[in-house]
Amino acid sequence: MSNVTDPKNFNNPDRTTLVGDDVASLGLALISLTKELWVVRDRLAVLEAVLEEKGIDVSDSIDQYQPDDEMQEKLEKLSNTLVENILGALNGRDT
Amino acid sequence: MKFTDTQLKQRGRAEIDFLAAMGVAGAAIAKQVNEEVDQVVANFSELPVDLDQRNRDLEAALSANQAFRIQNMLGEWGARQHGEIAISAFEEIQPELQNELDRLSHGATKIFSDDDFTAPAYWQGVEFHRTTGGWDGHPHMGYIHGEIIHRKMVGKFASGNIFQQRKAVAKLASKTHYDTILDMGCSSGHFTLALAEVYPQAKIAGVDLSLRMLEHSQRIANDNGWEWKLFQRAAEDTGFADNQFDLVSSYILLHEMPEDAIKSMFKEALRVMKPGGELLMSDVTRYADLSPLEQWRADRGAMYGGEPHWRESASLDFHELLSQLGFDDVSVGGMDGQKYPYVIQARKPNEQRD
Repeated sequence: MSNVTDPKNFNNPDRTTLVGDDVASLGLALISLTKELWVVRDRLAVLEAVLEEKGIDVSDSIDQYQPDDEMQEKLEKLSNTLVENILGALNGRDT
Repeated sequence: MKFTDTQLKQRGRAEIDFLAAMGVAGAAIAKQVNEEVDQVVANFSELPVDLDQRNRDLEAALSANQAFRIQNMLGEWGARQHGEIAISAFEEIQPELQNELDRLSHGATKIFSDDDFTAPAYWQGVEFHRTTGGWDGHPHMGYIHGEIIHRKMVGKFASGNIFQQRKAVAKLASKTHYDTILDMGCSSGHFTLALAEVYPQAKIAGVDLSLRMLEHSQRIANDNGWEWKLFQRAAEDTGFADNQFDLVSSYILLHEMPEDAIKSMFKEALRVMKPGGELLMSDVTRYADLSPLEQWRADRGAMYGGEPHWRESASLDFHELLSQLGFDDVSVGGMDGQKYPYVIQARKPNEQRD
């Protein structure tokens, strides 16, 4: 006989995550995230401008692009850094 | 690669652009906060005299205001992040800059530092301006502070041109020529640079507590072919003989020092100045020259902006202090009718008083 009164309660358990002081850290993390987003947006805009100056239209190529192992590793490193920065800030670390 | 006003890489440039965007957003929020202040403070002249109590009262009155809370968060983020952003921007360009950094470490300008030098307790371990690690917190903090934080952040975001301000203050001394100038707390050399440009014939010495800052000062001088003598020494204990300098100066140093150190520094200035020599210093506006609300803003900025000695310094009456110490022709006040830069001038008597 199961002690679980209603197994469906496990579908969406009531779990405390962020409280009190976490909210301040969350605000700081949000700004850090926005900064990172801006850096990327800036780079994309610059990239498009540089390519256009050289007469290269890359938008279709970007959509079709499949990273090779080396590029995939580079992308993973970049994404890991971004996520670590955000989680670090959430955790009270100055990132 | 150009040594000063260096071109940053994309990330560094974009991150500083982001700080600028934060400043624009912050100005709009500050306007909202100011409107709320007008609502919650019935009579500004009745704000508590005690600055801590004034801040507690105003914080309590504003705590329900969302713009105030967001302003606090933006301020905190900027305080924590600006140093990290500057270091990161520097490290991106360092490989291309290193040859210039190395080259300019050699030249006519020398740094003199004793192995047993110990910085005073009011400075050691303090992260002034909340700069990550303090003034010696990175092997190249002189460049990072001088060229990235100072030139590309403060120079871009602060009201007025900070380099023109320095030059304008340097020109306030009464003569067109000085044989010897001492710049106290010369830091990364930006006021010393203004002095060298305005008084090109002068022999210039500088003292500062931070070796990292002196290193940048040295590079600025060598980049211009100048021969400065830079010493890692406290402004209140320079080690120079009596009656050495025609002009003793400092720019934006006093608010980084507690009252007793400032008094000692003025005494030291008087000692090393030649009879008839001039004192020319500039710093933040005295609290006595600010309204109660301006005092609160300045004091709060200091509290959260890594300025432990600002209140003590800004509360001093420099006119009274310099007069008591024996200076003549003392004048203090804002330049050109503005509250900042705040300029302090005085003269050493031609003859020693009894």
